[in-house]
Amino acid sequence: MSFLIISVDEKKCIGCRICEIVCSLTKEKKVNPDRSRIKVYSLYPHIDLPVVCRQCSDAPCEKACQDEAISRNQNNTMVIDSDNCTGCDLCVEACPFGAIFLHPETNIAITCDLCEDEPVCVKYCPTGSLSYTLWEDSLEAKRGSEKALYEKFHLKE
Amino acid sequence: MRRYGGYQGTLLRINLTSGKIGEEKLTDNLVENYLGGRGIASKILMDELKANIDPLGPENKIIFITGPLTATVIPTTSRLCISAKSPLTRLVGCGFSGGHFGPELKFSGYDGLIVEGRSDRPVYIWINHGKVEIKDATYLWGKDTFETEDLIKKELQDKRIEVACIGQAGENKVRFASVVHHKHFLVGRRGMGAVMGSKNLKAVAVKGKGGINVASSPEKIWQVYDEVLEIMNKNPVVALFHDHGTAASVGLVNQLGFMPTRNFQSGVFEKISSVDEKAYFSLSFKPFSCWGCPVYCRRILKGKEVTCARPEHQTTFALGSLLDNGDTEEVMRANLLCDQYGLDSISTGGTIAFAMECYQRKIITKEDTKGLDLSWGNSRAINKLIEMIAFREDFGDILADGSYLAAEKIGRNSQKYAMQVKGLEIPGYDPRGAKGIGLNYATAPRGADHNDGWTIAEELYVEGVDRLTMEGKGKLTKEIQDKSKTIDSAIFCMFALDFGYTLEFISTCITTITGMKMSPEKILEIGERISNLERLFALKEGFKGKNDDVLPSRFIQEELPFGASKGEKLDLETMLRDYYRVREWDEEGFPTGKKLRSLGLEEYLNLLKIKDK
Repeated sequence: MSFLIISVDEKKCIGCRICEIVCSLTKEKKVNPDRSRIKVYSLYPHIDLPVVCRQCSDAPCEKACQDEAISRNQNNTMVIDSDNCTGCDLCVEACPFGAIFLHPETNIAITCDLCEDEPVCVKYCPTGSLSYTLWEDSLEAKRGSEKALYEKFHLKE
Repeated sequence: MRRYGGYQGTLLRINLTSGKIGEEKLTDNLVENYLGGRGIASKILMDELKANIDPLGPENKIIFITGPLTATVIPTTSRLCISAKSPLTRLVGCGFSGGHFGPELKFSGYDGLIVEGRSDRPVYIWINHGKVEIKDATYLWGKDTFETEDLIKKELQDKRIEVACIGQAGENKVRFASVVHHKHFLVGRRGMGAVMGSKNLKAVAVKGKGGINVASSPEKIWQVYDEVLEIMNKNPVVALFHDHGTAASVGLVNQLGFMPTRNFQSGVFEKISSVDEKAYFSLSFKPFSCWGCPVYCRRILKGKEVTCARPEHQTTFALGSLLDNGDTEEVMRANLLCDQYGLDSISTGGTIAFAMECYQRKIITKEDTKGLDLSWGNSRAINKLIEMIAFREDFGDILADGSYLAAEKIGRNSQKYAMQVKGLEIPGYDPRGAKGIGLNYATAPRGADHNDGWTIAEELYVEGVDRLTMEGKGKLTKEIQDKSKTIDSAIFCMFALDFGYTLEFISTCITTITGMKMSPEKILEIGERISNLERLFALKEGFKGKNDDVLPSRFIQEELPFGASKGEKLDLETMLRDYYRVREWDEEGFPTGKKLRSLGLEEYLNLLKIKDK
């Protein structure tokens, strides 16, 4: 099945965090990068790495959830059912990328929902580091294992 | 404070002598009259510092502060202001950087922090979203700025914290030591790093989790944001800055014959093609950006051996043409050393250039320099001297106090080769080739600082403004100086006006975010108030108005010898008269009582009596 993801070309990322700004402004109605669904890690030497839900086909978060709070909609987008979520943190631990986390106020898991098919981060990214792409056309698919890229930087340590 | 948008409303106050950590509220008076950033910092310094204190003593205070626009969606507002009484100039020492620290500080719940006193051991301050600790930094003492940032991030186990720190230069109280964060963002000038060092304060680390409340609806914010982006996307300077950053002007300034060369002995650098924007662009590895800024004017360069941030126009001048250093790799190496040790590149270059001219004129010899051959362009000696300055070794110890004090110490008529105003080394535009910037150097409240009144933007790029004429420069300089004070208080990037922001639009942005009704006239008045307040700070410190508004005699007496500005020199006397008149100051360069009253500065009227003493 073909589906769309936010594809990340980290070589084009300049670390401006505009994605975090517009994401939080959209989802939280104010600028607050800590609650942005996409986060950029600036790692020396000279790498800026945006981290956002990969919409994994075999999603560790989905498997870890014991409350049936994580599922997919018809577009294959990860969806969190806030009624079912108990804030147990298992999905957060399971995600190899650090792309899902608990909202500090509601304590409910939040992750990128692709803004109803029009990701605002992609729209405002000034360098084209982020693109909204069919999975099979994405850099991630070409690379084979995106997990390896992210693990290399030990983001979850 | 009435709840204006954009502000967190709270300042932290930390006393390193007692270890006391307190919070205080921003007042209506402060934000309505001084806006934020530079304005508020200067007001605090003016009111809280006694006259003539030692800038490197515990009685000095160092302020880290943001503006109401910092960490909002408005682009180019990621700025951080650090201010204290400067150990180099004895004046207001504020400096600015872009980057990521300012927004992070704001997200942590504070508009700024004031650090007082002196710790008896090395410490750093850790602000973790409202929780503040003074932590031991003994293990960090002696480390450079890159290592310090890495070690603190490791200790606190968080890759997304921001660290502003000093290197060895700050520890050794080099009077032009900088504060560095995110490795390549510097609050460079006037020795704010030395003030941190004098307090045994190695770093401030900050992590924020909060958001910024603003006075307008999200719909309005999106509308303003889209408007700004449209303006910026059409602006040619933005496109130029994508590729070249501030280095874009290196070739042009040289072509126009006022690129300071060999300590301002010439305005044409013969080897410019090795250090101009094209030379840098060929080594470009990766652009990087300040927080929230679509201009991304910075780049990492990869040379044969050196990987560093692309030297700015000012660094290219100070560590390149000014020293006759025409090797790309060597300018990059010197730049990297300054970033790592935590040194301001302009004053480092300016002070070394002073030493090199003294060497050229045999005022000093190898005996003074401990065997170093200070011939022009000797890059090995330049790099060695940078190290000796950072560690205050031998001859470096003399230079570490800046060119003005070094000349006092060396004597032998060397003073005329110290190219400084009020203690601050002169930046990279020879004032004989752009008269407005010369008037600004002489009158700016922080010493010879181009950012206090960057007339270059108009003198080079606006039709009908002749860079070589002195006529009308009083008005031009005064207006740009006042605009800059407002920009430094909001805080916008100093290039905001060049990126297409107009004064009207800047006031719209401030109104939208804060809810304070601002007009272009109102924000200019705030700027003028700050200009006058900082002038009063100088008077309080014993500066004597016109008698101290001087330029090195070279600019008045010697003509530029070559190139497109050949034959130019400067009549400062006439320009000053014009400037004071526009400023509504008296002929001696003192603000008039009438002016002070009109700006709401009547509480400082008694300072004007200094004139009669």
